[in-house]
Amino acid sequence: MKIRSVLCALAAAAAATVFADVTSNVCGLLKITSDLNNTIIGVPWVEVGTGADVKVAKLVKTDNLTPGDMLYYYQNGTWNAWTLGAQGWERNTTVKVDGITVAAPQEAQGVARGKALILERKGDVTKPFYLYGQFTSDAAAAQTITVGTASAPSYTLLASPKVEAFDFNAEGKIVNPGVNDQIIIPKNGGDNTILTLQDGKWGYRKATTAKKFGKTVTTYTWTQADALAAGTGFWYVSKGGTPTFNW
Amino acid sequence: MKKVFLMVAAMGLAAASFADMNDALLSFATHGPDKYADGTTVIDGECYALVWTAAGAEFGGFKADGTLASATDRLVLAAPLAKGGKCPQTLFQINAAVADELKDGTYAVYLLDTRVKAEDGTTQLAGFKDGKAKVVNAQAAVGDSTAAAATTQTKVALAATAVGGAAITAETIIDAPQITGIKVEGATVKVTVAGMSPAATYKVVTCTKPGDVGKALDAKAKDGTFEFKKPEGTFFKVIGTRNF
Repeated sequence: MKIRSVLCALAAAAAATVFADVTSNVCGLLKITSDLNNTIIGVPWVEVGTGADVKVAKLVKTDNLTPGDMLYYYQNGTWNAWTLGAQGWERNTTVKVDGITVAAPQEAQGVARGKALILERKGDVTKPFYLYGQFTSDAAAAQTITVGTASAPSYTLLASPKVEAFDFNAEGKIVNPGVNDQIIIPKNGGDNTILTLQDGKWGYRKATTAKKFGKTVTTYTWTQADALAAGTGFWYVSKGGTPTFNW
Repeated sequence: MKKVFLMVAAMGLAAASFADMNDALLSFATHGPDKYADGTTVIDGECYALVWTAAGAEFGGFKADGTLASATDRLVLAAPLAKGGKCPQTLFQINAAVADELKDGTYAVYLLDTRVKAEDGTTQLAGFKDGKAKVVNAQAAVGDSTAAAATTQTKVALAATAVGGAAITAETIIDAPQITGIKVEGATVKVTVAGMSPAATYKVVTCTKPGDVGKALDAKAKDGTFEFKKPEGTFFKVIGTRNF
């Protein structure tokens, strides 16, 4: 239809809003590039269409993954597991973690934004995989860090609920950590990156080896932590700290 | 004309809330001062008409009885709206079926000259009935329809004056579409969308931030599903633009 004259908005601003183009819910495909056999992945989305906690089977796309790959979810000392089968992600009730048989995940179990899962890959880890779901700008539920002690540290699996890289050292992002607390980011071969606090900043000791006077000399330099890639997570090890994360 | 009713623009929001999905909301107004062909400023209560003309056709004018002369014209609305020398903002809705019939064509606002001479010699408006003016451009005594017709035949070309600069908008209330499912098969993404209206055109856009509107992907909907190559941007959404 051609309109001969200039379009004119109605006097009421609210009525003018009715006439804007319509936009659907925003969804996303977050590409995760990781060469790890065990990758901690974050949950940055909610379920498409409903906005509920996203189901594991819908969050982690099976594209580029291999049958037999595993997903683990840890919460309050309990492990749940899923195995990639012919029909997609299937609940696993027989695998053991740390010698403990996993608890059966609920059929309709959803995982909230800000929670984390561990993806164990058995095939080609050079190919990326995808997390998909629906974007929301709503605040995520507050995460609870289990408080530990120096002799009995507690481990909490964490991830950012946002679809963006997380800078551990940005002002106000991690409030009230324990001075001896640690952040563990997995690396291949078991040589994890362990972040500690120095002068209020998170970083890690970087070893540099050189030959000097015929001897191998290793020096350590403390390096501030890199930002964590979107869609990935970490272990927070509390040795007395009760931190708050302001994602 | 089915289910057409007139509402004052001040209640624009209420009109929008009464309209059903896929109904069209039309609004029009003139800047004024509007004048008859003889240069006289329009009288309060004079009729304005919103006329739809089929694509490629020319407006054929009104007959003396207020009906349209050409089969390619359609009277969308005529009403005694004039006030203060112009047509105030007027809002009304037409149902989806009628809106669909009118999708190819042009709209224009016409000022009808329904002035007649009363028995006492004063100029009055002929009045409005059944959705149209009783008499169009007749300087005749009220009730003297024969005389009015004779006058009109010589002045039919001036019976309705297109009002230049009239502001016309036509919008359809449509629901926001909802992505309900996503499948990734190799390099292809399939997105299922619910709530798409036949009164709008939809596209999938990708962006690097949720609030952005990025470029449209090469994707067409088939049975409610868009299929496209994995986008570079992380976020994507479906945008619907009203056809009218």
